[in-house]
Amino acid sequence: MRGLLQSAAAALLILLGAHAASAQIYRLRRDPPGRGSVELGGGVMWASGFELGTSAAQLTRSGQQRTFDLFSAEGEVGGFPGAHARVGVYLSPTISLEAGFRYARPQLAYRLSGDAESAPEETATEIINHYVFDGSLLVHFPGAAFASGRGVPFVSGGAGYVRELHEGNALVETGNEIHLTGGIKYWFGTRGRRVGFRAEAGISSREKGFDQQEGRRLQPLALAGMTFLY
Amino acid sequence: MRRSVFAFAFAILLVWAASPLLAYLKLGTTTQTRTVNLRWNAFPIRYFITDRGAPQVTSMQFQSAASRAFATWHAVETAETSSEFVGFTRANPVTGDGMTVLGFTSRPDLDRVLAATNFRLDTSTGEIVESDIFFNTATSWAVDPAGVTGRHDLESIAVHEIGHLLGLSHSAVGETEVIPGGRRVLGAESVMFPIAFAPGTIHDRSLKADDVAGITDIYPTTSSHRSRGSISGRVTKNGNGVQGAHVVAFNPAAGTLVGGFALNESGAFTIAGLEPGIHLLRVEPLDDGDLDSFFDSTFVVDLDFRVRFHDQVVVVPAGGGVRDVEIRVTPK
Repeated sequence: MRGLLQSAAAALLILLGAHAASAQIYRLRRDPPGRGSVELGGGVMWASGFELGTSAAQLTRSGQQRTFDLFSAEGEVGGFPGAHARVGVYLSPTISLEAGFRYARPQLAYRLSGDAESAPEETATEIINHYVFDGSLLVHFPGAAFASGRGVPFVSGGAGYVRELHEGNALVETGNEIHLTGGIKYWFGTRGRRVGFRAEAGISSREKGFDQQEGRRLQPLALAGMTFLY
Repeated sequence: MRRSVFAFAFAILLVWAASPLLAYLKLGTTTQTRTVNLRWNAFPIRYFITDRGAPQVTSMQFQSAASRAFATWHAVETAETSSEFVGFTRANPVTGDGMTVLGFTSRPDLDRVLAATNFRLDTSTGEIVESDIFFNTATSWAVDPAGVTGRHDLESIAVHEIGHLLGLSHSAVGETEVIPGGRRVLGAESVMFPIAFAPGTIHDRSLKADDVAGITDIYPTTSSHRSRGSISGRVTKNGNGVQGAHVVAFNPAAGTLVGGFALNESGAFTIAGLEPGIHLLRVEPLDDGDLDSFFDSTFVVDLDFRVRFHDQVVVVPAGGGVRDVEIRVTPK
């Protein structure tokens, strides 16, 4: 009965147009992830750096000019690579929920310059252990699949908890992040269990952590890796 | 047996002879076997005000200004101090009579000294048992809320002297230039800087981060033990310690500066009472004040090195310390 309904639906979609028809062909040719299917993945990530701004070490002075600049410190975090892992559960063939983990070691650098007593410029650095534990909702678009249905676009959005440890684990600073990404999953098999490649890129908006800026900071984010469907 | 000694600290010229072998900006004294910090053990500090005014300032106005200056220190949330005004007295503010007295005194022989603090203390424990502050009527004073051009602000100088009374020494967080007859302050970020701002300035009514760190170091509250941290390490030149080097910790998030000194031959320094977080270190020779404003004449200060920044970000933990920071400097 179910096969009959699917065939009827396919016939109807073919009549509606070529794009819809190809989508339905994909559906007919592959075993889509079903409700309860589990996806495990991991790979590499990259997040863009950002500037922390310039802070002047100022002394109070008695004249009309209220401050005396002793030196200035210009901070930045370089773009940083890292690793990620995630596990997802499909709620339907197109929607899944994921829990993820990202780890990276960004370098924090302060360029010290403009010294009132002509100290040579210096860049003080530190490596930070950066962890993000996040949750995401993924929406897949099998209707926009390509490469004979092997490539499936998706979008992902979610939020995470940021935990950052300064060098030597001297101090833990926490924050939060929100992310919105889009990407593709490219499957190498057609069965219910299969392996694939996943790549996505988007924006992460973080707040707090070692970054003391008021408000949120946007960071381009890219992730790529292997993914396994069970 | 309790022994007593007297030491004197001045707002412009410091002529006390306390041991420099203690932490950065605290007064200390040497016993036979060790050095101890000067501090009060009994609070509130009960003080009297001399019932003599000065031109333009009555004794009542003096008492109000002194009370506000004490309150400025007591308002530091991370430190625990208190005081109580007992009353007016005819006692001289420079005598060791068992009473802590603040008041005006005419000292034309000390024409460059605005005010001075002296102590009676137990040299075996460092406990301050009496302290007196005189304000020199050889200078012109003012107590107006906005300050008066050409006259020194009594409350600002009282905040500085009460810092000494509480056990703080001078800070070197400031820059000066040499002018005929002395030095001129280009800028300072500590009430405890030894050279006063120009007359009419009231900036020193408010404590800076350096002052707060210092008083927190001496009189920490229970919670500040857990909420504040420290940086310690060495300043070295060609592998040897640099005695007397001035190290400043800059917190770029808060924009605050807190200073400390390398206080022995190994170049060891400690800067305590710091807020947790990122700090950037700068080390300089102690060339922005007379050396005897900071140390006694037996303390050899190495001035032969170049100003430089430390090449590592230093992160201060809450309730702990960063140790073994080594800042290497080069000769001039």
